[in-house]
Amino acid sequence: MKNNQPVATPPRWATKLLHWYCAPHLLEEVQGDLEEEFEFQVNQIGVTKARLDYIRNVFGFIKPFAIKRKKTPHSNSFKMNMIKHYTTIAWRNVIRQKSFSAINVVGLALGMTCCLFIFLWVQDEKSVDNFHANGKNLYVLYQTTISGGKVNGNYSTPAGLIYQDPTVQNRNEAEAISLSEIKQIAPETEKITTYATGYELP
Amino acid sequence: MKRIYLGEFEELVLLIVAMLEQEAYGVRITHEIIEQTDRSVRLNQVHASLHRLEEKGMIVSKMGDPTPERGGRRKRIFTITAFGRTTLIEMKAVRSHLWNLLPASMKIAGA
Repeated sequence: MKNNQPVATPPRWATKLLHWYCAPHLLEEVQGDLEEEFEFQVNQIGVTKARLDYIRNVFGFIKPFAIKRKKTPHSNSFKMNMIKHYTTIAWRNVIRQKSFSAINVVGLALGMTCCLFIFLWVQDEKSVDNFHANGKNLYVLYQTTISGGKVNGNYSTPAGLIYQDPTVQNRNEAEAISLSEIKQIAPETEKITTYATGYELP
Repeated sequence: MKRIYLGEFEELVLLIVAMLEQEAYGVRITHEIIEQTDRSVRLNQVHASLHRLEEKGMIVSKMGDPTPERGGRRKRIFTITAFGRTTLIEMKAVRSHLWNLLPASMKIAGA
């Protein structure tokens, strides 16, 4: 019997690991068995090897049966029972007030359908002219013309676009520039081109 | 007839539990298997097997009294149930029946 150390103890970190993963209701017997085996092995193969054996055993116990926690009698079934109860009550109310339920269901269905169509529309709107590689830097001029007190909007940009300062009252005296001079209003403009489209909505 | 499924190692553990009577707990069973069958068995294998046997209703367990060794922790003592005992008996009967059907040459070689 090798007895150079007064009390041989298994590696503390391995015990901690065991405490961490082992299910509480199994811990006592498992740890007891491991410790008894360790003491047995200390006498058989020496402290160093016994410690290695202990570590091997701790890792060996990392298995579903040792990790799985014991179910408490109420935890699971209770919640499930309540959900079933709620659905039963809801269904009974639906049956009891048929016309009101019908209005509710149809209203909700209509609302959801409209919502889906709106989403589709928005998606389509957002996909217009999406193919431009530098779309973020592209701008379309929107031309408004005032004739006979009526304002008309148009995306068509004629080559000789006229810009007039809207603050000037007498339109005949207002300073005007053409499209080619647009850099005067927006100096960050890099390139200008004309663009023809039939699309007229604002 | 109800089909009884018992793995080979589980059968061994069950036999050892029956053999040890009130002394069957993890370490003791492991050492007994090593001693009697000359197999290399690990403690965790025995524990897993005991767990399955208990689920199958072949054995029952209770916590024993605390002892000064193993840090004053209690042992889980396993005992065989009546179902476990009939299972073992049935398995043995099936085996001896099959052995009886073997040709004579095999029997001599086996003995």
